[in-house]
Parts: sequence; C-alpha cells; structure tokens
Amino acid sequence: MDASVIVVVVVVTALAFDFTNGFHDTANAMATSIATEALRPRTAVAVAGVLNLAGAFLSVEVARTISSGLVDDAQVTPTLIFAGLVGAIVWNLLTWVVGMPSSSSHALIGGLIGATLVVAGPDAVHLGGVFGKVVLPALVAPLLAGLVALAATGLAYRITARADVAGVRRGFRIGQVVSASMVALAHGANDAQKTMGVMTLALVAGGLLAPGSGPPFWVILSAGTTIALGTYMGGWRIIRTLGRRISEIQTTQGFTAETTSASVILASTHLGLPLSTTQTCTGAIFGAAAGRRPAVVHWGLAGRMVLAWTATLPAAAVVGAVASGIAATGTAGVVVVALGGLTVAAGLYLVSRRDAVHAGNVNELGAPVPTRVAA
Amino acid sequence: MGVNWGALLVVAVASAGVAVTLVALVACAVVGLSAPQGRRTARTGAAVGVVCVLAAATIVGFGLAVIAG
Repeated sequence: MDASVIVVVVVVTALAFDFTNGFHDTANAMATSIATEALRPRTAVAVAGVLNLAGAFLSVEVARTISSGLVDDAQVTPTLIFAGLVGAIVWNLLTWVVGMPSSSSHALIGGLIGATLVVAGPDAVHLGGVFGKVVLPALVAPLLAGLVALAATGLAYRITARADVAGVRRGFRIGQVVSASMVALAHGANDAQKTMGVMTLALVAGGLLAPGSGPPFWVILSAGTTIALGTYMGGWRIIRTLGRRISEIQTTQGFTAETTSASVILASTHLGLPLSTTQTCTGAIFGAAAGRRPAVVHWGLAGRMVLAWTATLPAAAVVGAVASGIAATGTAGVVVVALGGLTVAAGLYLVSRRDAVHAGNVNELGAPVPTRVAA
Repeated sequence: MGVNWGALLVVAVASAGVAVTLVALVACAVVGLSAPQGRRTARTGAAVGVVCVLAAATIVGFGLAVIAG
C-alpha cells in the first residue's frame, strides 16, 4: 500500500479512536453533575464538548510523550499504528457497551504495544518508559484522587455542618457547574493529546514529518474537534454507572470529586505525565462517596472496575497484536482488519440498542449491576 | 525504570493542596452566602462569601495561566 494512503488510513482511524475516547470519557466530567441535577444531561455534554475542544489547545506535553517515549519511533510503521488503534477502539467500545469506565489511554498504549511486539519485537518497546510514565502513575492516580477527595469531602461537610441545607445544596450545585467544566477542560488537555501524539507518530513514521516534531496545528484542531464531537454524543451508559451506581451523590460530593479530579489531571498534564482521566475521576468519586458515608458505597463495583482496568492494557495489546499480524501481510490485510473492526463496532452498537441509555433515562438505575452492597 | 518520582511528588502535593484549598474556600463561600437573616449576619456572610469566591477564582485562573503558559 502506498505510504501516503496508509498514513491517511491511520489518521482517520486515530480520529475514530478520538471520537470513542470522547463519548467513553464524557462521564468523567459530567456524571456527578448529571446525577445531582446540577446540569441537565444535554447541557452537560454540550458544555463538556466545548471545553474538551478548548482544553486540547492548552498544552502539548502529553502528545510529545506518546509520540517519543514509549515505543521506538524507528521501528514503528503506519500499519503498526493502525493495528494498535483498532485494538484500542475495540476495547473502548466493549467497555462502553457494559457501562464500565476504563482507561482509553491504556487501551491506546496497550494496542500500540501489542502491535509493536508482533511486528518489531520486544526491543522496540521501552518497558521502562511504559512503567515509569504510564503504569506507575496509573496506580497512583486513583489512589491519590480518592484520598484527596475523601479529605476534601470530610472538610466540606464539616465546614457546612450548621449551614442552611437548601443553601448548601444550591451553592455546591452552582459550584459543580464550574468544577465539572474544569474537568472537561482537563480531559481535553490530557486526552486529545494522546491522539495528537499518535497522529504525529504516524506522520513521522510515514516520512511526512521530521522525527521529534510536535503536532502540527491541523492535527491539534482535528483531534480537539473530534473528541469534542464524541463528548457531545454522551456516553450515557458510563455516565449512569459513575453517577448513580457507586453511591447516591450529593452536590457537595460532586463538587469535591470534580475539583479533585481537575486538580490532579491538570497538574499531571502540565508535567507531561499521561494520567488516565477515567481512573482519576473514578477514584475521586469513590473518595467523595466514602467521605460522607462509606457504608453506602458499592465497593463491589470498585472491584469490578479494578479488574477491567487491569485487563485493559493486555486486552487491547492482544487485539492490537492480532490486527498487526494480519495488517502486516499487505494491503489486503489492512482491508481485512478495517472491515473486521467495523463489523465488531457495528455489532457492539446493535447490542447496546437492546437496553438503550439516553439523556432521558440516564438517571434511572435500570437493570442492576450484579455486585454486592456493603452492609 | 525511568520513574520520575519528582514529578509524581509535585503532582501529588500540588493537586492535593489546590483541591483542598478550593473546596475549603467554596465551602466557606457557601456558608457565608447562605447565612440566616439578621442584616449584620447576612452582610458579613455575603462579604466572606465574595472574598472566598474571588480567592478561589484567582487560584483557578493562576493555575490555568501556568498550564497554558
């Protein structure tokens, strides 16, 4: 396949991943605001979409990390990147269907690693970089966010203990509009850059950009716009999980969770650490929930989420590896992988329609998630 | 392993400090702005609330400026 054609295929696939990243992660910013009714569902996703676009222009530190710190650029080909993206998209869609928040970042990195291992061998993967810049921060992020949110929630309830209840609810509801907006901004700043990094990597691998280059403006604009569009579509299934199934969230807790999430994500983005916004926000929501009444938190659901997070990188790597092996055979292989990916995506979408979740029913609990509730 | 412990520590300390400070300021603002009747109490509460909101907004604005810069 002509080099420029495969680069175009990669760019389109990267934007498709960016779109899934958008609707998969809408819940991170807006789940608690929708659950507490601080924002109407459609308003929330519109705000999130706009701010994701704005956030994409804030910094490119994470983009540089993705494009040069995890795999050997010299071994990477556009076909390899394409296969890795397919792995990430499939995992994103699968977890979306079951309403499970998982890291789009890890799915992307896992897909790339799996594809790289098959085509270029283990020497092309910088395991030290993967551990130091991805795995370790991912372990730290939900714990850090959870502990900070726990402390902040306890402090907030202590300060407002004797204040008018209705006034407190109203005040934090207004605060949630701002805090949720900051999380959406932080998400755009952190997550859009991952796709920018992949697109830049593809352009470098295809010889269309000098090695070590930062993302061109059109890459930033297209990635930011696509993630914003995906965000506006609204991942209602995951919004319901984070907003309603962890615990009954009050506006105070929503505010502390969102403020904590935004602080952690923006600080890490500024320092070039590609944290998982999903894991950070989920940790913060659990921390905020526990900060009020630990006994009513669905801790069993936390266990299921940890399992899903642990499986993300290897699962996406497996799909990426399979896709890479097929795509590496030539043009026909690329076509097979593309058609296969589209078929899987269509199938998962049809499955989701059996129990559709939308703006009108997102705050209803619907079919219960099989988990035990703490006494 | 290439673990950037320094950066992780900075992230932890900075984000915890900012988050707790912002929550405390907003909580104080909420208490102040929802103070009960009694003109002096309500005026004092409103003043405290406004100061806390402005302080919180300043922190947020400064943080965004650092990141964007």
